[in-house]
Amino acid sequence: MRTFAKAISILFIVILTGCWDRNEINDYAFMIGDALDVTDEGELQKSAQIAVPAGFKSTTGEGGNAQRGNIVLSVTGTSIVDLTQQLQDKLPRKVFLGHRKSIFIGEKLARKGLADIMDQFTRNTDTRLRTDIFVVNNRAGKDVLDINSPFNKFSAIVAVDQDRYCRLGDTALRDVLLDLGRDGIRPTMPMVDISPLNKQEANEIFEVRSVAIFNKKLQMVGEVSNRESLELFWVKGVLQNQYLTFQTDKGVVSLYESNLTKKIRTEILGDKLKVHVYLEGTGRVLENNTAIDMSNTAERVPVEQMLNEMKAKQVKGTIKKIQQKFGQDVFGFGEEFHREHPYKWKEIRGKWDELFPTVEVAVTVKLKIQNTGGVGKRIPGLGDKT
Amino acid sequence: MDQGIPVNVSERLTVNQAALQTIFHNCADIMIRTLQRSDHSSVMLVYIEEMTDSRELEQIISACMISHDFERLTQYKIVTRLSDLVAKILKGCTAILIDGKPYAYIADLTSFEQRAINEPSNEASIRGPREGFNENLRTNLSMIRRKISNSQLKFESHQAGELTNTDFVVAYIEDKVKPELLEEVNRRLQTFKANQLLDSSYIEEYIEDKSFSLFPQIQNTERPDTVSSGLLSGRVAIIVDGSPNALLMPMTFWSGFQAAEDHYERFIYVSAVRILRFLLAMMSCLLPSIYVALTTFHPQMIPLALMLSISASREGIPFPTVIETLLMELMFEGLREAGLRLPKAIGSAVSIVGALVIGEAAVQAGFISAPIVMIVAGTGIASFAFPSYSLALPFRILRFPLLLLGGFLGLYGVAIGLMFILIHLVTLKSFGMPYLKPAAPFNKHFWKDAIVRMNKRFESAIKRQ
Repeated sequence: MRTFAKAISILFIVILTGCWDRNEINDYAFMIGDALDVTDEGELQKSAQIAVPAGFKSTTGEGGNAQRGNIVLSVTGTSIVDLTQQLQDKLPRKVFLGHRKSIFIGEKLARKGLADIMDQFTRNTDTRLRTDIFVVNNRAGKDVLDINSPFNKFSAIVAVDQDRYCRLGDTALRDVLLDLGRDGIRPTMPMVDISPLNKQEANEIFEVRSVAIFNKKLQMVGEVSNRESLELFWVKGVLQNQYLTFQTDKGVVSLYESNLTKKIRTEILGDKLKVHVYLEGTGRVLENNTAIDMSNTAERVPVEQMLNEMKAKQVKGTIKKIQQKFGQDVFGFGEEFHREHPYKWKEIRGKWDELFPTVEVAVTVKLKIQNTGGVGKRIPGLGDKT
Repeated sequence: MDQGIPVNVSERLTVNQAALQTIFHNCADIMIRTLQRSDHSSVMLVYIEEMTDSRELEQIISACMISHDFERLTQYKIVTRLSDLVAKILKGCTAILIDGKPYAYIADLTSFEQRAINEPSNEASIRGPREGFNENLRTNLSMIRRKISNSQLKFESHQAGELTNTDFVVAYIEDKVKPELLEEVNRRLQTFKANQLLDSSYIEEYIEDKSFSLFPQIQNTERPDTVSSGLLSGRVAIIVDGSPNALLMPMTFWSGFQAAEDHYERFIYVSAVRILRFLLAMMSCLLPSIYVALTTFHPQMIPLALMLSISASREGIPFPTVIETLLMELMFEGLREAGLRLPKAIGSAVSIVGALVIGEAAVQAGFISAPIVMIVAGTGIASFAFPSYSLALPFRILRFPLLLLGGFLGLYGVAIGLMFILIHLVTLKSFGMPYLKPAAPFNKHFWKDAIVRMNKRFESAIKRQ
């Protein structure tokens, strides 16, 4: 009897604490990508890219079947949970959020503010914090989900991969939430552009080349693109390598700069706040359309100097632009003040948004040319100094 | 013994003959021959014809005819008790009884057909000795003695089995073995009370610590070199006549992962292979249950691309993943069991049918999803990687309860199952030695010869310091 009682109690211990959410893998509707928009009536619209496993079953067999492997569903409503429930009503399988790769936010909604949306992403434990988050430039988020990329069946995954190679950081939901939780930094998100230039492939590709800037209330206030967005990320400290092309008086030189680092020192001079930005990196010459012999130190050093001065000016310009046009500290200068002047920071953090545009910035760039590439001089006989 | 049969050998040959004929009635293999010598005295020879060397027997017969004096034939033993005489005859010795002598001469002329010394089929090795035990106790002992030519190697002779009267030997090296261990082995051997001893496994079941445990607590081996190295490290071996499997005790969990050639191959390679074996062992036990737990309870733990392809291959499969896996595992175990004892001619038919049942055909028929076939095949390969067949058995069996736990409770269930197994293994002891030693309790021997093997020269250099 005693043994029986023991066995029963062990059984209960095992069973009562068990996870009873057993579900077969093909009874789930995997939501791969999510898009959030605001309709003209001001309602929230959610679109989801949902995997259809049967669609890519016979990839080796018949071949050439142009099935998408996914469907895109849209619903409108008031809250995210309500929208997810509405999506569920349209699906014969249980919606599963654990594999969501990316979230696209239409620019209209981004400008309106994301504060109401973000709460759900932090509170709902089904959400992966590694989910990438994008703002869609000038378009609705749903348009990205509709794109039919030839590289992957899910445009949501294409965006994640592309984000990695376009060097605009790898902004996940987690990064945005971390930035939001701090006083001295404002969040940024990469932007997806549905490329208008490539007409024929308009439904197949998109670009990631801009960065959306948000304010404290998580409203998008503006964007910077191309070179400026790369410089933004460099100063922020997430950019690791980039291609640089610059004009000398003798021609064009292109470099591949890697091991990019940043160092920020802050200074408080009475009322004035000053930030010193030190940027470093080492480079490899990829293209040299000048007669400069990079393997010759005497010739290279002036080039480096010129490069550094030019880059410093550019970065300074970008920072100034962001300070004046958007007034949002996306670089995290406030965090550096916090670290170096913790007591002073307590006084100024409440009015950081007003102070940031007045911060004086000095930029020092120290890029080195470490490698001349495959050859020292140009192709022999071409542009040789005689 | 029946009444009317004397206890001792009588002086009168006719009495002896009558007694032996009563004892051996209906024993067609026992020959009782009476020879008439030139001086009209009689000599009686009792032997088993199939177990006696006929040429030597002839020599004895001729000696009997000529000589009167047996005392000088020193290689013969003298037996006075009739029961001893009977036991000797049954073991294959030849008894010589002479009229007027109250004792019998026993000559050991045993010679019978035995299996040649072959390479051990269950423990083959690439490098190192190729000989394996056969069914003859004396041959087996000689193989060990040849490896350890030292008077410290002791063979204690015993007999057990009330009906079978089987000889067995407890072997140990007096310098190396702990007296407590030897005492414990002998104490447990006292408890062996069966009337038959046909194989060493009979003894194993009597003397092991926990008979109801799934894990073997006494190692068995067909290899004289494994036994020798066990003896040299202070273990005790039991070798039973008629069984090619010697028992080695105490056994640890890790010795099940050690093949004999681990000590002959280069140590880095051996260490790598042992780690591989250990991983495969885990795999053979856990792969199906973890697959089922992950796909049915925790799909968020599978990388997206993998999960989508699993999901795609599961489209239209009628069974839940647990049932599917269980069916296939049962099928595989069935195939294995069926193929084990089949004649070679039918064996190929089984493997062809097996490849259909566990393979592409099952997938194409839409019964089974392709990943399950991979999982079952992977488990199968892993379960063949054990050097010790008897340690592979618990892993094979435990796969099923773990699979059910994984199917009903997810990874939580698998963790519970593993916890119970670990609790059992940690508490298990083999002749006083913790089963998981030297991993639990941990000591530095773990790095010498458990999951990796240390270089021998390096090891002895450390010892000398």
